[in-house]
Amino acid sequence: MSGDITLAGGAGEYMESATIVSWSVALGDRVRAGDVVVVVETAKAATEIEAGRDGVLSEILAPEGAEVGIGAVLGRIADSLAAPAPQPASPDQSPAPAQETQPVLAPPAVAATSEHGRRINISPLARRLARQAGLDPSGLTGTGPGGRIKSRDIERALLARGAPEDQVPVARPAQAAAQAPATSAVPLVLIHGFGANAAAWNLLRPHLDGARTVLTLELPGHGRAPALAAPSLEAFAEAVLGQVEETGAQECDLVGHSLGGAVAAILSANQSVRVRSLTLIAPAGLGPEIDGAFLSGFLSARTPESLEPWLERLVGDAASLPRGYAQAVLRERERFGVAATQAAIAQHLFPDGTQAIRIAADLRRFAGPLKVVWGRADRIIPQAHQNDLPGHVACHRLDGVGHMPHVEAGALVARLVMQCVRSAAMA
Amino acid sequence: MAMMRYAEALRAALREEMQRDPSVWLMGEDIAVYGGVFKVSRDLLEEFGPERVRDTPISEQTLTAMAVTAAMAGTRPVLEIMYADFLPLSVDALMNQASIYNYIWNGQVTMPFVLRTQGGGGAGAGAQHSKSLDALVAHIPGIKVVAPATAADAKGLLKAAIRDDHPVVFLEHKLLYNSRDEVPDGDHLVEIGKARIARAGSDVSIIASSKMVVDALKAADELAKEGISAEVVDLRTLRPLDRDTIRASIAKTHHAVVVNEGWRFCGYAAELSATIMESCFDELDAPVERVATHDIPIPYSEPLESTVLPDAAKIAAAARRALA
Repeated sequence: MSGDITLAGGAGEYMESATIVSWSVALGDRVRAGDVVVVVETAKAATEIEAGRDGVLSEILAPEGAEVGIGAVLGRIADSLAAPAPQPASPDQSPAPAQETQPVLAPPAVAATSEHGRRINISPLARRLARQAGLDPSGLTGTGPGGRIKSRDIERALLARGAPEDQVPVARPAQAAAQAPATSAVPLVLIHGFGANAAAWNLLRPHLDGARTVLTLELPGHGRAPALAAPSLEAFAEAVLGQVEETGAQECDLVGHSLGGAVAAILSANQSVRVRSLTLIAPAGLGPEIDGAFLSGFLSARTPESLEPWLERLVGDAASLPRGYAQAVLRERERFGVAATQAAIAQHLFPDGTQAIRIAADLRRFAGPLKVVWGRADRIIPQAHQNDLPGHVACHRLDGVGHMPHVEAGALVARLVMQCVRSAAMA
Repeated sequence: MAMMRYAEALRAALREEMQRDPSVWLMGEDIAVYGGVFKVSRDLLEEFGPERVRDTPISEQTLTAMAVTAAMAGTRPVLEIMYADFLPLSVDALMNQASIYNYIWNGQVTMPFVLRTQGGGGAGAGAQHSKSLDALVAHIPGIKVVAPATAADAKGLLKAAIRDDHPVVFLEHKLLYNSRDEVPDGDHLVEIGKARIARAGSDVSIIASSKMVVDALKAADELAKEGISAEVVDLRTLRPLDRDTIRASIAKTHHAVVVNEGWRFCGYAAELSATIMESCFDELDAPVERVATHDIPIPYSEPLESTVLPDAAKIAAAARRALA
């Protein structure tokens, strides 16, 4: 049996990629078939992946925090470690690898004890944050009960460490994928559309350049983001900007879909984080028309049967909707209680089935690379809205594609996004 | 939507399911002529007649075995056990019959019955009429256990329980019968096994069920005055447990307070605590705080009883300890 540990597609689940939450065994540890070796998290749930055979965990190919696609090989199980470090001859010939034989791929271990061998009093979350940031917590003073080091102590230490000249933004793991040292410090920020959440980008992300730091933010009242008392396009932009500022970024590239596109356009002129490029996918705010029947049907649907016909209107070809999408949307609504909030947002931004937001002036002012991507079969917002855009905007019209180009044509849209981003980097 | 009391919502669920399915029938002590000691089944005898709404002798052990066999014979009995304190008499039928027949006979029988009962303290009802024995029934594989906190969930879950082909223990709380809230119109069903976020928050997750949700919401109000944003997770179903909702909440807040009105030692809150430790260890920024009833008989004396039972102040104090 193969020793590959792979990410299999969940049966009927809306799952296109997953994030590695934690490896349950360390490199070199013995495992038996059926042991849990790694925990991954999809957009909806955490899943444990078990060892397919007995052996030793010999390779970790996807470190904790990494985003991986279906079918990806996460690690390997072998009979023994490939290149065990030379060990002093021992009368006991048992092959159990010693602690010291840590291969190069091992994540930096956080010392569980201080130099004097005393255990450090640290919360599990703080330990994980320290490990992800490569910080040795043994010298820190804990502010929790009995001197326990809590996550706030790690955050404080990381702030203190970040001197101006070697500024590396430290993203909170809940918001950004873990950063490998090679990733660019200019984040690529993806802003989803109305009624969606960060998982909207799951079909696009695997096609993006892996060297980019990608932030998938959530609009207020969507996903896990708290709602705003008074929803307005400006308030949404401010909330998104706050999340980008939190990463410490000074510049960013923005990608927005539909309502998220309008938010990106408003953000393009902000003074705090310079926006280098804009890629807008079927953006809102370029004309008054929007499919009001879709909005009200989508918002009031309570069962997969009543939601599916509306979701089919989102795409050019109903077959391109991920399986279980309606169930996922409804679960999300129930779990986070976002239905009423989103109805209020729709009433505010799209009253009576009319777009009450405008972004044309913002796009006229924006001097960086600017692309608009639209499906010719968009039935939610008419693609003709792009006809009046000024000459410096590159317009891409996709045949057979509806309102969800990033879902329906993820690879192509990712390519266009990267073109836009690269031309900004050269400018 | 209609404003409805918890007891009325339960009655509406019974009535609608009896109208919908002639195989649904009720039995229990004083449920027919008297309408039940908490008046949940009031007027149902008049509407459905003595064949379908039956008064029984005081013999919980026999009644539960009757419900098991009547369910095997193809009807859908809803049995009321007047006080959860007497669940131990039902446990033999639950543990040695109801929960295992489907398994040992390879799916040849289904077991569509509901055991409704009510528990909980705070009413000065003494040591034999105040217990919360959630853990006793939730311990049994093959039994579903639900414990609604609101009238809407009481109705939706009872309807779902009656339609379920497996035994469901339906735990009500004596102090909730008069609480009122909005109940959706029409055929309102709530899926068994799904928790709900009763209040969204970002600093600490309070995980509770039944009346403890009400106390948790009061605690959240208190904490909000101190600038602490508490999320309240209403489990609604105790078994099967909705681990996904718990995990998602703790991944957000990194602090957990688990609450259950049963005794602390080997109680349901201990199960919650262990589940969190196993599935969200690396998300925790502090030990899980547990709020439960002291390990003594529930006192009759009101000042003593309130000392022993969990309440909003104790939940708020636990949240502060978690965030210290």
